[in-house]
Amino acid sequence: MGIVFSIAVRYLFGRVRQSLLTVGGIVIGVLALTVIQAMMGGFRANFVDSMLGASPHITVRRKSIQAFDPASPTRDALRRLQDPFIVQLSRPPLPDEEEEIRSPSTVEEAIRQVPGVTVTAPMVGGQVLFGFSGNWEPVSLNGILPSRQARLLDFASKVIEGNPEDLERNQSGVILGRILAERMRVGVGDRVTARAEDGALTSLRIVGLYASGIYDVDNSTAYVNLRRGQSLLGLGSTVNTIGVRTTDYEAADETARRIEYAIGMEAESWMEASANNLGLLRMITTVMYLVTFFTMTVAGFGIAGNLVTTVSEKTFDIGVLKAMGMKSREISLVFLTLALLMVIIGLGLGLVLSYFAVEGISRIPSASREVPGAIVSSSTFPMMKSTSMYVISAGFALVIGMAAGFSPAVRAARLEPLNIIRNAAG
Amino acid sequence: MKGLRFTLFVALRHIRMRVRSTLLILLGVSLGVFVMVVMQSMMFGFQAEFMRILLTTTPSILVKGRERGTISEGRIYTSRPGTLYDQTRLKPIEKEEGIRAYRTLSREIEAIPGVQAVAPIVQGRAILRYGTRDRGANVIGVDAPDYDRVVEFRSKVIGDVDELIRRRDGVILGVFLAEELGAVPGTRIRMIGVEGQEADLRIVALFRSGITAIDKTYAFVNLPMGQSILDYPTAATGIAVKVSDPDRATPIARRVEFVTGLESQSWQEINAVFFGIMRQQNVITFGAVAMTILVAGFGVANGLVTVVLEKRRDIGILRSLGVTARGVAAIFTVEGIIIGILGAIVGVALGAVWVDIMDDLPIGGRGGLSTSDTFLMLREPAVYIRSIVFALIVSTAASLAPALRAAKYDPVEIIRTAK
Repeated sequence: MGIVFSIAVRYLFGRVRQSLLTVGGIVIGVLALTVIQAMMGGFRANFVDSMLGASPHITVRRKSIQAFDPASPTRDALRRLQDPFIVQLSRPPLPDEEEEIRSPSTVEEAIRQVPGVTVTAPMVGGQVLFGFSGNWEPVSLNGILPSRQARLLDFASKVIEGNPEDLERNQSGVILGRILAERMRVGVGDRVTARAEDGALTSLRIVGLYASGIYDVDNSTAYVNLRRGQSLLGLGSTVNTIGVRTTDYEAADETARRIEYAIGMEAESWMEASANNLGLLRMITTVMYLVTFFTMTVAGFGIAGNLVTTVSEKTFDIGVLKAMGMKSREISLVFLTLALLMVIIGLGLGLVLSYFAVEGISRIPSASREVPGAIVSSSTFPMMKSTSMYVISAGFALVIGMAAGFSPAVRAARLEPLNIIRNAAG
Repeated sequence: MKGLRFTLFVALRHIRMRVRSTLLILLGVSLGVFVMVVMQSMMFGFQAEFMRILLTTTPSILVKGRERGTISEGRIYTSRPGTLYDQTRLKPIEKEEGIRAYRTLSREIEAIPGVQAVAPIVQGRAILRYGTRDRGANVIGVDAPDYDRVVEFRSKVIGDVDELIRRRDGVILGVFLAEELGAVPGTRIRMIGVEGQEADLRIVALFRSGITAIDKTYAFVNLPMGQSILDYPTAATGIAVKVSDPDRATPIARRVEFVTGLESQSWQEINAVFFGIMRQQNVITFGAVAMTILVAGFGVANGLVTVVLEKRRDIGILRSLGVTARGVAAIFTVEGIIIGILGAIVGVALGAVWVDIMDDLPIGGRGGLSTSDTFLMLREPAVYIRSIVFALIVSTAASLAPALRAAKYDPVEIIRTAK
């Protein structure tokens, strides 16, 4: 083993320039792979964190909302409209009037029996108009029990100004989404007017501003006390949603199915609610991984090319080594070790560089603040900083290096010592 | 000419001598070009389509019912320590007045050179109610024929646009808005304005632009209906303008401001932040793609360094036969260029095939911004030309250092030390 290693080291340093170029390829490959992982992972983590700060793990409703249902009457009508021969439009069924949950505590009790459920909270949700000095905005209103909400989701930490507990004390308090407040040009302490279901006007005092990081949420949502929400939405003492927290948010889908099975109401996990955005994220991530995969592959070609040249340059040495009794297996080990050495040096440098790159990029201000269409708004690039991404890069580089070294190493082992030495002499 | 043929001859000979390692280098360059072609086609394809939809769905300039400069003259909210948004929070004193003289102003704007068409609109927020279901909507009151001259309105409506002109109570809903309400054409919905005005409207058609945010929020009504629901009885809230050259929209917007005294924004200004994100995205993707080609360039350099070292004696002989140092450098540079060209050809061919395949590939899940079901691939020659040029630059640059080194060899030294 000693001789194999020292020959490999000799070959490595015997061709400094070529070795450096090969190692450089690996450094860049590792750098690209790690930084992309950090970027994509950070982006997803940021999105999930924002999402879970804005909506419960699972939302239970009386009946399903038909949005994006491929079999919905709108889709059907759309298909007909595009077909010039079918002009008859069917009358759609009116939306179900029964959306209220009349005895929330009984339903909550049943939900809490489902394994995986930790907290439940009754909520009401609907559209109302908020007005301030003559400007009116439709707002998605949420009526909540503040103390329960704090246990249901990471609500309090998303309230950036004011105090979420004021919602409990102040029956006419309201917490507004930050971007909505900015658009309406109001702040904590201002009074806004809410137009209720029946047209009655109510004055609400802004006790806090709320920033989940999800643009759509911060641009349209307001939180009030459950009571106030019920009266504004004309729901009496019923609620229309129950929020559920689970032990493992990544398993919210299964828990949602269990709840549906147990109580016969529609349960939507946060993944289902944000399926579009998660799908988009997944697509971008796949594409970026593919690009970095190519970078690594090309770096692998560099290793293979380097080894092929070394083998052909050192053909005579190989012949001599074999004639002196070195086994074929050991010859191939020499070249595999050479590949491994290049990978390890490249890897070391690449990991150090990517650490600094990740730290550096996480300080660059990002333009994705407050833009409709940007999934999350964040002031800097969210970068994932976990050891797993370094481990994955290292593993991948090693695999590529070994794969690239394999064929030249086998070739070197197959060389016939007699032929080589005879040719060299002649 | 003779010199070039000789250079090519030697360069090709070197390449042919080392088939295996040359192939590996070539493959690296091809992969780099391939990735670059595909990524460009994908990103630019999406962006081009998005811009096209944006330009045909929203006006190139929007004149607002607000006097130019009023916003900066507004009162700055007194700063409270520890709050985040004090500097930007301006308080409007009352509801904006709207543009009363919109007919006269429209004619004035239409006379500005570069302006192709104008249409007064009234725009605001309202709630749509169908059964027990409420949705907030961005209501736009338009005169359909006028509006169709400013944006490609008619072609985006599924159903009969003229129905909107015939019926005062017609409404055209964005497809996703209709879907969320659960309402289809032919049904009646209630629109509730901010001052409590209500109107029962009949959905006469649906509107589909392809941009999710628009199709989820827009509801078009007749101009008079919009004026009454949004409480602008005799005014418009804006004038939509189409210019003949979209690239010149910003200077024309300034001209409109000068002529009318009203704040105007070009489509570039309205979407400035969004375009900023697009640029940022492009930079990240190109960073990643450039890495691949850079690594491929390392491969090219590596191969040439080896050739230069191996052919040390040949170089000595060439020099003593009268080939100049420059001629030697040319040989190795040409080698790099040949590899670049071959790699680019293979990469572009692979890329073209893959772009074709991806064009029909369904996108997993409906995208966030656009509602296209498949990838929108751009197939302009520019995509390929840029990739080829980039590959050539990198492979030429990679060959420069080894070539210069070869040129510096001292022929006397080489021949003297040769065995």
